[in-house]
Amino acid sequence: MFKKLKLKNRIYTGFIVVGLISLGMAVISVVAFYYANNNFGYLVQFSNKSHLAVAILRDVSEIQRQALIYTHEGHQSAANRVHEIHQRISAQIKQESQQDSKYFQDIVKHLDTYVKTFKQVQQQRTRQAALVHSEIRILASEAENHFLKHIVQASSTADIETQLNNQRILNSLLQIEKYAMRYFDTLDSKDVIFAKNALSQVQKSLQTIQKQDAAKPVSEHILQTIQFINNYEQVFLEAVQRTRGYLFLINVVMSAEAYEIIYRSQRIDRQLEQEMNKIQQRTLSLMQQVIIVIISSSIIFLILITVFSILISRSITIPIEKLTATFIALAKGSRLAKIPDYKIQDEIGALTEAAVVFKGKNKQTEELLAQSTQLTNDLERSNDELEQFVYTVSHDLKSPLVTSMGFIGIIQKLAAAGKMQDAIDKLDRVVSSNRRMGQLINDLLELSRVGRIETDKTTIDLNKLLESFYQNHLNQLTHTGFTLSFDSTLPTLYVNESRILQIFENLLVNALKYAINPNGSVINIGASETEEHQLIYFKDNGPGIAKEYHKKIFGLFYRLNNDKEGTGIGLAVAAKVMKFHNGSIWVESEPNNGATFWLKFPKINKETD
Amino acid sequence: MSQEEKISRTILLIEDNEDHAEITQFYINEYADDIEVIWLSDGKIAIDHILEINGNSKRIYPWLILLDINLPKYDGHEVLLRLKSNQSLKEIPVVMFTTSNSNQDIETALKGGANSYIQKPIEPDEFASTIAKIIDYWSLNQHEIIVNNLNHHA
Repeated sequence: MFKKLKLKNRIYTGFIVVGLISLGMAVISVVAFYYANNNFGYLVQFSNKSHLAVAILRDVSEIQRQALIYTHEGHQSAANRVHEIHQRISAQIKQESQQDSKYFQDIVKHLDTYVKTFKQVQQQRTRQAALVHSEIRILASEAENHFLKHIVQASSTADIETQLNNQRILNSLLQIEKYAMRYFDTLDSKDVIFAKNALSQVQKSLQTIQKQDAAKPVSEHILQTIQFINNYEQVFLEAVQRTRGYLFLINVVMSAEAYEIIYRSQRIDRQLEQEMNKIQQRTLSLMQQVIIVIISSSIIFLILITVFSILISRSITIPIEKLTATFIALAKGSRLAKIPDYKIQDEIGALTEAAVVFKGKNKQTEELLAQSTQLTNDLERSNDELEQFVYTVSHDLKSPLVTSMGFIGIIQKLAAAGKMQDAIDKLDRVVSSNRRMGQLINDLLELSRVGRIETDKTTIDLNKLLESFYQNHLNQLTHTGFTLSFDSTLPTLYVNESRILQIFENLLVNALKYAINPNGSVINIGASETEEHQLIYFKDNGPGIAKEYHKKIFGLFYRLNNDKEGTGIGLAVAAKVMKFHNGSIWVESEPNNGATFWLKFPKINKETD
Repeated sequence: MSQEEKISRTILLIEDNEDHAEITQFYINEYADDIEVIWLSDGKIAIDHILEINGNSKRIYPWLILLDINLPKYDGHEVLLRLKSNQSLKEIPVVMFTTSNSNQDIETALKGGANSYIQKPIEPDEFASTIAKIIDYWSLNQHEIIVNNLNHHA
């Protein structure tokens, strides 16, 4: 996956990918903590609401307490406190939870109702206080005053019983006031009954006094007392009525409202508690999820980074290892070292190119070495050939020398013995021996020339060449009784003309010497070809050549029959000429069945030669 | 005994060069005119001739063989090999007599059992004295042994 990147870019990519992965981890952590934080926000919000609900609960009981204090004590400060708390709660609710919660709105509504009712209570309480503290007291004291006046008036005339009765009535009057006052003080309804009983008793007593003294004119004070007592009763009942009214408001209506508020606050609290529990649960599970996500993503990223690192480092080290192996092999001189396929133009690419050059050099070195080995071998063979040549030549040149010197010695002895004619006869042998030596030297020179003058190849028509060859040897052929014929469809050859002619000369000379057929000697020259070679044959009908000599006859100085003239060089020259034409010469023959000499030329396009 | 011995001295001259053969024969007979020289012009003819003697009931073996190396058909080395590998013929003394002075020829010949290796001298006097030495040597040293051995085999 990185194999197309440059080395440097691969390393950069590695760092960038690791950086991106780290960034990804950071983003995941941030997102996770963002969600967690959101939940904490909810928690805080709910917690605030819960605090508010608790505060409302507390404040409502405070209001209740203050309202009761007000009811009992009538302190204006308590009433003010009620209003103050009401305003505070309303403001807090508005501030804290204007957006939601029907419960809070209900609480505000009930609180408003509560306070409205409390205002009525205040009115009632004020009125009652006015009745109790001024009218009732005035009426009571008037009634007492009048009755006291009556007592004082009647004391002169009245008997003891009347006086006692009056005293009792006065006590009852005082008791009425006492009960009434205690009632308004303690708000114990028993006191109302006591007060009423005392009142009706006093009224009854007073009516009795009125009727008893029917004869007498009724004391004006009594009438006044009755009048005030009745008024007193009226006012007292009204005050009781009002007291009961606001007590009803306080104990029933306001309590109900307060209960509603408390109920709702508790509901809110419970609801919040539930929701907080839920959120807590959710947060907890979210945190667990976040931790799981972070841990698992960490593991995944770690694996990713590891895999990525391995891939990158492998993509770097594997080519280097391969290249190292290649260089080690190259350093050992290998020419076949496998050079890794690496096409990118970076440092490894440059090294790979260097390896290619190195390999090329190794190849060159090996080729040079092979060439030099070849040259050495050629030279050694050449040396061997030369040694063989020198040996053969020295032997064959020494041979006529031995002859001529030997005969000279014989001639000396014959001459010394006076046998002059014998001596003169032997002189011919010396001459022919020396002539033969000269011939040998000429042939050797000829042989040594083959290969030195080999450049001038031309295209020759073999038919034309052999036609003139035939004409040149016509006399010789006639004289020896040989018949020579050649096919008219012989090919053209790209060769050195004089050398090829020399081969035919030598073959003919040999044939004239060795291929004599008593029934008429016939020589035929023809051609055939294979895909790669052009073949020319030279066929005689002589006695043939035994198979064991087929190779030997092409050796230097080798002669089948020493009776015949010759130096044993002709076929050696022919073989050498064919070698220089990248061809070859060989003989096919069976004894008594003629011999066929084959010349094989490679088919060469002369333009490329 | 001595008279009989002298009559029976025969040298086989195996030599392809007619001139050399004539010269060698001339010097042999100049030194010892009682020696019969039989000239054989190639290796095959020589082997055939010797095998013919061996097959003959009389078995008159040559006194000495002078063997050239460069011969048509069988060369000197091959002739030597054929002689020395034959139980009946291996006691016949063979003197290599050749123009070759190559170490390889000398080594091959001596290993092949040649009794002596002598180069053909160029100087006429030397040629004569060499031939004389060969004849003297084989007359003095080897003749009795060969005769005894041959008789024993017979």
